[in-house]
Amino acid sequence: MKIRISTIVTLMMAVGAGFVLFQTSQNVQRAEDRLHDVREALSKEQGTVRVLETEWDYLNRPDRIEDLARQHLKMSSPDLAALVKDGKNIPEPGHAVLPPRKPVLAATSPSLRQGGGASSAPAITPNNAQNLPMPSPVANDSRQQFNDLLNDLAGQEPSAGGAP
Amino acid sequence: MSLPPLFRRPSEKLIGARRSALDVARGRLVLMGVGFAALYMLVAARALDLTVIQGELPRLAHQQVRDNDLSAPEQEIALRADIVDRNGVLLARSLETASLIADPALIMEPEIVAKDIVRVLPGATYGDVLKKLQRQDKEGRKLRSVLIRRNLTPNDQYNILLLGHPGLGFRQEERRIYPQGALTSHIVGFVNVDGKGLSGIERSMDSILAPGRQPLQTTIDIRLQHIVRRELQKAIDDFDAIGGIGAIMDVNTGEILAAVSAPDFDPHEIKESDKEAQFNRLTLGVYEMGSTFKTFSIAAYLEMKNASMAQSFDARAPISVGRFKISDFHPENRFLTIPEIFMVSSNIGAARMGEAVGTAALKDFYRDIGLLDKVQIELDEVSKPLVPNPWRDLDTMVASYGHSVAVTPIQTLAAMSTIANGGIVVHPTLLMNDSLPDKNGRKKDGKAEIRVISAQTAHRMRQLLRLVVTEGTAKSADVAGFQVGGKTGTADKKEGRGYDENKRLSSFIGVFPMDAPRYAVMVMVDEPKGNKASYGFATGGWVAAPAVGRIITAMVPVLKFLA
Repeated sequence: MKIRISTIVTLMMAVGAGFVLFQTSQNVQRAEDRLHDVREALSKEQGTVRVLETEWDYLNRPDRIEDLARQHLKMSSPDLAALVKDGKNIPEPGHAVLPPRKPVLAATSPSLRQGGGASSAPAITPNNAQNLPMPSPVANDSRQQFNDLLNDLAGQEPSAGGAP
Repeated sequence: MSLPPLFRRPSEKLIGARRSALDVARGRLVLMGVGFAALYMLVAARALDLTVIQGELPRLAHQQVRDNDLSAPEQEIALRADIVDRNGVLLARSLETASLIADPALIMEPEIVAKDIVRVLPGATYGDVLKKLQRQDKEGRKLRSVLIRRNLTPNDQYNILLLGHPGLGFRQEERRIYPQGALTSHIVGFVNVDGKGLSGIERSMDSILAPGRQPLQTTIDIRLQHIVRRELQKAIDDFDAIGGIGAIMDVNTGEILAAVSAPDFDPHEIKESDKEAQFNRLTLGVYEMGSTFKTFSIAAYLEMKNASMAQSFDARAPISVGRFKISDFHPENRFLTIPEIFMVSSNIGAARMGEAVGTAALKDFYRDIGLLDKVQIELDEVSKPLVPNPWRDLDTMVASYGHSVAVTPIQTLAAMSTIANGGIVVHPTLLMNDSLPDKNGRKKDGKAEIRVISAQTAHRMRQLLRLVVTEGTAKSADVAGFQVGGKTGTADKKEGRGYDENKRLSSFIGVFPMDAPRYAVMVMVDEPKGNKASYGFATGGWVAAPAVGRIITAMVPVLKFLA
């Protein structure tokens, strides 16, 4: 019987292929195990997140927050009286519907009175108009400063790569 | 190429007996070879079957299924969907919890184990645990699985594991948690041990809350809910009442931002709460609402008669119909104009207007604004209104000021929203998702706008509602700058066939801001008793109107109304 080189080569290739196959399958198995572990950990984390979210909303119950705020903060809920000096001064948009016994002009008068009586009223508007551009240069300045800051920050790091 | 002798083919020819003996031997060898080959083939085939066909292929198939799942990782127990408020705050969520189970057959010294468990688990008693660990079946054998405690906290579970006793194990179970507790108890409802909804949204939306679904978003705002509950409770405490309701509705969309029924209950401790507390007065309670109904009868009158506001009605003396007498709580004993009737809440005036509208027309109008039919809302606990049958002309007069027809508070609030928003019918809703079909299969967003009163009548009604707060019975509901309008109602409760003057329902429905209404706020207190601060009065103006005023004051910053 004659043994050819091709036979030996084929045998070696078969052994080699078998080894590579074994190696690959081992790798795949290991990767799968890791994937499984990661998935399990992920699911566990998600469970924990669910519990923590629930606890967060439980601890943020409005009545509890209210109690804590009362105990620890020197603040109170906004009082409308502090915002509106005299509610009666706010003009009523609707008109009185009681059939007028006396002619009542007062219902529509607040705006009238303001416009006619106050001489300062027209003075305020141009003032406002003059004031309006005032904030904008400041805003521009601060925007410029912000942009400069950004440029500075950007210039430190990627200047070698990005900026010429 | 010379090969070793072993491989060389025999060159000599064999003849005779030797040849035949060799032939036989060779034949046997071939036979054996074929036999072994066949056996090896069998082994190889079996190996292929075990490894590839039975082992690898299903695994590959399974792998593919798992790969498809990559975006949504698998969960051991499929959990019921969450219920959240309009801002995403959790109202109900299912969590996986561990229940402690024991295998008594594996526990050699139950006394020691019981002692350890009691030491670690708060609230466990030694005798109870020991009895469970020693439990036997009818034939005197130890059981293999006994439930010691449901739903351990993670900390307790950790401590049990630290004990290290064999025979103690855990079973994963699903537990429904309500982080807001009693605050939303009637709206959200509760589930039984098996996770089946028994009341509230948990019950009516049971199929939509199936495991794996998206969270169900309600229209409730938990901050407003808290404000309403706080102020309602204050009113109940101040006037020594037995209960009440409070609700906030968006008058344009019908979304319910807050819905409280007092007394309420802890949805985690259903067994300990009494049935009375589980009763949702807002949708299940049916009450004669009293004077708030004058809003609707006057709207009907203005719409149908196109009358002048200056028109006046005779309220000089009570009306007698048969043995029935209609009289005023604060008699003015004179002719009253329409705004005056509304402002001083004159029963006589309202009855005369109802009479002028007519029985059929008033009934139709009440039906149009949803007061005579069961209200369509995403809850199962909804009552049908009680409507007199037959409806006589006297009922028309009485119904004009809110008696003889008994309705749920939620549909009264919706009807008031309909009047306030300019005359478009409001359908109350508890769910944010507009695409969910309601029980009749209609889609909410496909609903046509139904106008029941003209814009002009609605405008006049808004003026009248505002007048009640600026000049009439509900001055204490005013909030500077927010133009609250509304209508008070004080109704004696029905006792048997008559009415009990000492048991009443005091309510107020406020709407604001009156120039372009956005929210309607309702408070109704059940059986309030007058106190010193109210000079003994327990009417809607004294009990409910201040509560609504406080609610509006508190809700304005929450809604960032000023911004």
